[in-house]
Amino acid sequence: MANPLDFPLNTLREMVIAGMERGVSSLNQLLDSPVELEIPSVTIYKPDDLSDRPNIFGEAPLSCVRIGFSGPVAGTAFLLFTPLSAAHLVANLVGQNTAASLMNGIMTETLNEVGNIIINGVIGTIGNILKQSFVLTLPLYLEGRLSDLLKPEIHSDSLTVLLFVSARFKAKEWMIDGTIFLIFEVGPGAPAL
Amino acid sequence: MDSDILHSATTCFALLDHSPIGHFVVRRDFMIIFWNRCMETWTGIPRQEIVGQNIVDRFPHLGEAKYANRIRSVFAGGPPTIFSSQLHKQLIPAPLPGGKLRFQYSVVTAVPEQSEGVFYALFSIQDVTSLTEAIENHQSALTKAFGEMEERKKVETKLVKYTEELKRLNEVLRERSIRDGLTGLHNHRYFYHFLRREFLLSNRRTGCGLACLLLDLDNFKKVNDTHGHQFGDTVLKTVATRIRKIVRETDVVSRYGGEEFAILLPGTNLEGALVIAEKIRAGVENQAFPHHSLATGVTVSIGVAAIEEHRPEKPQDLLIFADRALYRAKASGRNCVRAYSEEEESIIMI
Repeated sequence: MANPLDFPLNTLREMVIAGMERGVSSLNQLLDSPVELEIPSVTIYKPDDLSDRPNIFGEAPLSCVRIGFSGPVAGTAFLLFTPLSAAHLVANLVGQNTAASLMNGIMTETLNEVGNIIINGVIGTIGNILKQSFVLTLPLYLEGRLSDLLKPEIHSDSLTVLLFVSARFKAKEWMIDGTIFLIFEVGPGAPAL
Repeated sequence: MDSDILHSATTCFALLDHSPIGHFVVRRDFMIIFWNRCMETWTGIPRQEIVGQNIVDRFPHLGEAKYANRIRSVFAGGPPTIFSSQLHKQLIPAPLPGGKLRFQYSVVTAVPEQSEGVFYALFSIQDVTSLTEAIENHQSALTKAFGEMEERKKVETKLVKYTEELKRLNEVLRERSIRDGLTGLHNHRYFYHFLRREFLLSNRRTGCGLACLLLDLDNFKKVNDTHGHQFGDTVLKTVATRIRKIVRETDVVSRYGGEEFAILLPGTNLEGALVIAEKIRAGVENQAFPHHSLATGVTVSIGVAAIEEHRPEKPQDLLIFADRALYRAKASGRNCVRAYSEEEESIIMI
């Protein structure tokens, strides 16, 4: 069974970018003013990278949509924003001002749908390329420090690979920096990247 | 065949009739094969009427790409798809008793059919109207609060502007209250204020003198009578300017009366004051008035008193001494400077 982690980094990168583009294209069908996407970088981390450098992603709280997946490889996908970037994005999507968008109800529902669209796009595209299907959970909106958000997802008894995709959404006059985190859990026998 | 499928779907999904949220199931050709009791209640559309119909025929907006494409991905066994109330308001119009439409949070999930690789789309719709209304109320309260804050900011900005304007007007008023309107020199009132202050200071600082000059334009009435009051005013202004140019920045020149000027010279003894007085006298005598030929030029008489030499007991005394010296200057034929003499109030000629 093909596994996304069997592929070289460049190929995996292309898969993720194609998936994000698909997700953003779906997102744009919803909107009057489209969101543009830039992907400045894709980086791979191992759990040790995080334990050696616990502040690698900063200590500031983040707004996050979490979706679990299982299939040829299991894992978790996160779509992360700083609270202000999240508020700007939601304000742009729902046509409210940024302050109003900070309200929990609006933020949760809207970002859940955005996360659902983007992450479905990414995982769905990887599945299409591999001709494998993934089962995805419903999105869950969370807030907190990245290290706290990731902790439950990284299990010491399995080899975990973290794929860090930095993304930038351009919506109207705002540049909204977001990040997609894909955590793949692979068994000890799986080929390392 | 369809009726079999519809019958079997009703049986298969019957459990969903007991769910408090709206459920319906759509086949990959967009035909509705199940419509639960909750959907019947919310929409008023009975199951027997809607089952077997194409969902896009019934609800045309679901044929738009933004809905249809995401629903199609579910028929392919794709992951659950969410339609939030914030972005879509409602997926299926379902009016409340008052006529307003329910806000809906909808999730579309793939449900496997009997044939492998074929999926139904199960729509689960949650009524989030109360939550959305609570958010909207909160939001309108927030907007109102922001509006009030904005209004308050505007009022504060206005207040700051008014305060600054008031400050400026107060400054103008203060200036007007201490200045003579014609010559721009300090007025009589300010002169007294300054005299009292400088008198006290020079008494405290031993050896630090203070002199007073009282100056009167000679025959000014005649100038006015001959050349008119307008020219008289020009003379007063010209003399004031001339005096200001001769004395130091720190000296106080004031218009004391009609054609009288009082000058306070801080840190100056009698000798220094007499030198300045003579400069003023000569300066006025030599001052040209180009637009008018005067038969006789404008001249001034000046009386001088100083605290170091004349030892006045109070500020007023210094002025009285200068006035007596001025009287003597007038009596001595005008256009001259006289100092006050303590010895039997005799006047010495310089």
